Amino acid sequence: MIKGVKYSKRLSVASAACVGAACAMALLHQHVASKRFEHTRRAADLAGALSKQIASKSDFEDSNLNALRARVNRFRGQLGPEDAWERLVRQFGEGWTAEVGPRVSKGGYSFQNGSFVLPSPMASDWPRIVEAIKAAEHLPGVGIAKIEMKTSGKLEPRSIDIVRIVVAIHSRRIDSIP
Amino acid sequence: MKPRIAILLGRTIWIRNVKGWQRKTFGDCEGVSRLSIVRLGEILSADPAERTVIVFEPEGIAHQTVETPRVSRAEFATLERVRKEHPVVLSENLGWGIEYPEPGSSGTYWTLIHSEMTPGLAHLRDACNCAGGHLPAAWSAYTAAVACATPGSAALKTRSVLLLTPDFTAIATFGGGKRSFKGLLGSASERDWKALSVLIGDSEARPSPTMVETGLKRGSIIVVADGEPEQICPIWKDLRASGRIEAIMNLDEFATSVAQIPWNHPANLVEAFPRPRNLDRFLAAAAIAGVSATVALGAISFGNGEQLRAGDAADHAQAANLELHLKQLNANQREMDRLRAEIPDGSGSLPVGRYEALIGLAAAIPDALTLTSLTIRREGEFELEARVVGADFDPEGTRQSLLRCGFGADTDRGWVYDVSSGRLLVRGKYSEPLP
Repeated sequence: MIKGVKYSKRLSVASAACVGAACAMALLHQHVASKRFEHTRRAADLAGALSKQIASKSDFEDSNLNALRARVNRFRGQLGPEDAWERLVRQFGEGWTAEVGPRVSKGGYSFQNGSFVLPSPMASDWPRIVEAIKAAEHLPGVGIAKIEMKTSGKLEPRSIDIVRIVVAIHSRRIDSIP
Repeated sequence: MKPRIAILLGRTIWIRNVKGWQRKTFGDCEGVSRLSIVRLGEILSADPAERTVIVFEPEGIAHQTVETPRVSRAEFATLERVRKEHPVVLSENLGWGIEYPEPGSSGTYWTLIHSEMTPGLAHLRDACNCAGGHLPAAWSAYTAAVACATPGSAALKTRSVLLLTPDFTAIATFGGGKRSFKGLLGSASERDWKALSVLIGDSEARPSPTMVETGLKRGSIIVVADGEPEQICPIWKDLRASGRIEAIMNLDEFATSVAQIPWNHPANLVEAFPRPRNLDRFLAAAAIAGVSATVALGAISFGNGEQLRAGDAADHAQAANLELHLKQLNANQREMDRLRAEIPDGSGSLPVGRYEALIGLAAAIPDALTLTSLTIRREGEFELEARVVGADFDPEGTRQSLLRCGFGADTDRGWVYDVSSGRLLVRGKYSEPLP
């Protein structure tokens, strides 16, 4: 017949101490775990914020900077003298009709387009046309912006209706040179 | 570890020590039963053992047959009729126990209740407890005697156990639906022996009313003797001659049988005493669990701490790398702003390589094709039109030749060749010629 309880005081104290130690360790474990969680969360937040900033500045990666540097260098290298149009007219010669476009000045540079039309062209003029383009491209600050050639007729030899070469000129303004 | 066995039969105490069984018999006087119990208590206190089991049969133990439902000891003690007829089950200082209920002749169950008339066993239990020991079980002589019989053998046959000591003689009968116990204190007279003889032979003399008991045969007898049986028992020769003696056991064998009785047997007299639940096992388990949990959690916390430190260092390194990258991007941004400020908006690079384009185009156009129009714009967009003038025109070869010299056709309607009119239209973007 079971009635009441009995226990060893020493054992009960030891048991309470062990259980207390376990509880304390559980609290410590909980503390460490929450600290670890908090730390991980904070680190993730920081990394996320930095990554977001980096993503927002993705246009400024080294590759883009290098491309811009190359572009600027190319721009600088392609600049011609301020009298490039006059030189070009002389280069094409009297056989071409020159049509000068407006000159636009931006910063220390000027930009100008112009065109050269070969009046009454013939098929035999084609080598001359190609040589003219070659000579123009050799002048500093000059690029061929457009080449236009059209023929008509049904039978050989066809007649050439138009040959038009549009040039673009980039030059440094003299007054901007220190 | 086996428990210590102490035996109290009538006025005699047996207890075993290193010298063997020690016997102490008290003279026939008033209060001898109380005296023997007190003396046994003194012995148990003086020589404490962790666990002691007692065969407890002093003068004044009652053994009564009771009709009962087939219930456990605890349920038995709650039966109204039992409480009324045997108030000992309500007592908390009188030892009592019951045998397992067995079916009787009319389908009912019967048991044998052993009970103290006056408190005595409680004193022995207190003596053991005071000595730092424990009294887990106390058995009546009947229960101890039945334990001597080999279980399962001839369960339908009535068997007897004859306890023979110089100062106590008893006969326990069991099996075949029959249970009885008769003990004699002091030296038995001739009349007593005749009565015992009748009891031993009773089972074979009286016919059983049930079909089961009709198979009853002459039951065997197990003799437990302290000393030579022929010197104690005047009818020993007759018993031997009957051929019913199954075994003769000494006290050692008797004690061994007693030690094997499970303590949760309902006949355990000590179970009558209220005892507090011992919480030490639970406390020990809690202590072990606490230590285990402390060690496990400590190890996990230590590991977490190490991971925290390692993660801290890794996070700092990652943050430092990201900050460095961001710093680099800011520097790039400043330089790019400066470079963009240097060159005006919309001032693209001058187109170059148009001479090479025309030379390449001239080589790529086959003799079977005549160029009828050509336009090359600033960013390289081109449109050329040609007419087929030869029968050996190879469109795919021409397409590949144009592609090699930089005039790649657009995938969407960039190559239109009308076979019927012999007209070819190519649109695309001029790029560097393939090597």
